[in-house]
Amino acid sequence: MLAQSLLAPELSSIAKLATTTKLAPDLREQLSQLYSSNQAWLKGWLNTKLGCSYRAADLMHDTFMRLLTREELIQVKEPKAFLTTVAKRVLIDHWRREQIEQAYQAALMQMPELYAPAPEEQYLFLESLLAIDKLLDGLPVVVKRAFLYFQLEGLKQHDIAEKLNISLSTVKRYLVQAGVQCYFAKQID
Amino acid sequence: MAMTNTAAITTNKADIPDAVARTAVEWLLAWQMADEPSHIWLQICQWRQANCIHEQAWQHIENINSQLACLAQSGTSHIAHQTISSPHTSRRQALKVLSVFIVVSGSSWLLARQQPWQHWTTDHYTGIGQQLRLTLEDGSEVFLNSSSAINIQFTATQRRIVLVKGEVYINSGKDNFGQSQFNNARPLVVEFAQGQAKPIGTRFAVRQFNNHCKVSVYQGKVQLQGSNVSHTVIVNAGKQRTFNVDNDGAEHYGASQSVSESEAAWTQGMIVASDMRLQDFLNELSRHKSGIIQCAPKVADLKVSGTYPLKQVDKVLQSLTAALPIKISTFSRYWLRVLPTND
Repeated sequence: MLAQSLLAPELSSIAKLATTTKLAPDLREQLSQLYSSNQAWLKGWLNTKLGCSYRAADLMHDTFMRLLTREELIQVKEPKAFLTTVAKRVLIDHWRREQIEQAYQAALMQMPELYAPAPEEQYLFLESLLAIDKLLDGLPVVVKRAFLYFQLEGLKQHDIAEKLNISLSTVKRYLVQAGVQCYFAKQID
Repeated sequence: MAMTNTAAITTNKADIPDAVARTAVEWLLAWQMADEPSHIWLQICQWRQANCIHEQAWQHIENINSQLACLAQSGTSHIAHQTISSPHTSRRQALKVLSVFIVVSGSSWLLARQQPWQHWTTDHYTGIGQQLRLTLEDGSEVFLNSSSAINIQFTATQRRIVLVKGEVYINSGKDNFGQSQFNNARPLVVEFAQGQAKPIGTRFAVRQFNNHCKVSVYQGKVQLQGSNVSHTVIVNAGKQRTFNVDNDGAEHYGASQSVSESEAAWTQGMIVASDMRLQDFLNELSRHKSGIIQCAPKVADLKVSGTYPLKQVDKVLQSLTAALPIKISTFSRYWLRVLPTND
């Protein structure tokens, strides 16, 4: 039981998944077919990347879960290439989650012992962390930090300028840049 | 992956025009920075009412701000800040590297712990849970422990092994190349971040930590030298010594301590514990498994004895729950917590 994740759906097939989700019948059919003809090699492919068959099975489910939540028809001329692309993103998220969990754990260790959030709180906190981390991905670290100082820690523009050793107008520019990406997934120059 | 329950958003983020997105963010900032926010708030309300796209844009912002608020509560904001802005490789970079690597080989690079990229330029490396055994051209036997990396640089005058991270165990061979050409064996040197070790016909291990290094000698002796200190120390068989660099840059050798052969049991794929603290045991074990194994302070001092296989960390943990008053709680697939049974 140790290797099981809180997130991994304990469902035996994608068909079962599809019936529990509100899906158009044709999409459900399409997914079931995609699943039954591709799950074996996809699991094998993930296994070569991860070296662990349990984890590969978990991530294969995550891959199909991602298709389920897209709620759109999947145009698949080359299912292997398509699934590999989605699975790659799942792998990277998985790896990033591992990094974030470790960074969070390291940060917790530095806190006084009195601060010990309950597992559920830690879990929700981690989920939000991952979501925000993903939204800020790709921004330069200094831009991220300006945004986090301002929106998370409530520091004043002036203090951020001092902490990051940048000018007031640069702080403002970074906040707009990070905001546009974080709230709207858009890049500006 | 977190669920959002703001149902009113009908326009996709991507469909908000760039100019509207930017204006919305500028309004938000103006409001947050204002000395008299209520005045700005009125203007924002007018702007939102002027066009339904403006309203949609504002809802995207509020939606994500509620998630930020979850991170910002009760003194946890700097943890969030520290975690998100910790130096790491971005998704985009990872995707690029992943595409390249899939062509090159199918190894489990994703399991590498802190800096997966660091290994790429090294001659030999292992992921978490992997070990590697090599025989070098001089006959030396080299074992790489879990999550370790070395470079091997053999030249006409020197046999150099650079420990980039982790732990290496060496059973040094007799160098014939040097003897035939220069009538003198080439010295073997193991370099690490803080200095180097020169063995004299010996079996020994070098382990790299963040700011120190530990040399354990099982046979023969090793001369240990920090990179910025003039004097060297000799480590004899059955002894181990550390070399530390303080935060202020001061370097010093640790005291000589005994080491038993069981510390090198990892070269046989085993961990040998004899009255070992549970915390220390779990620390060792966690080197061979991805993720975190956390130990509650109440059980940290329980004693563990026995010989355990490193290849089956999960099974080892399970067997511990039978032998000790502990239970294991799984927080996520990378995060195990060892707790007292009655907790």
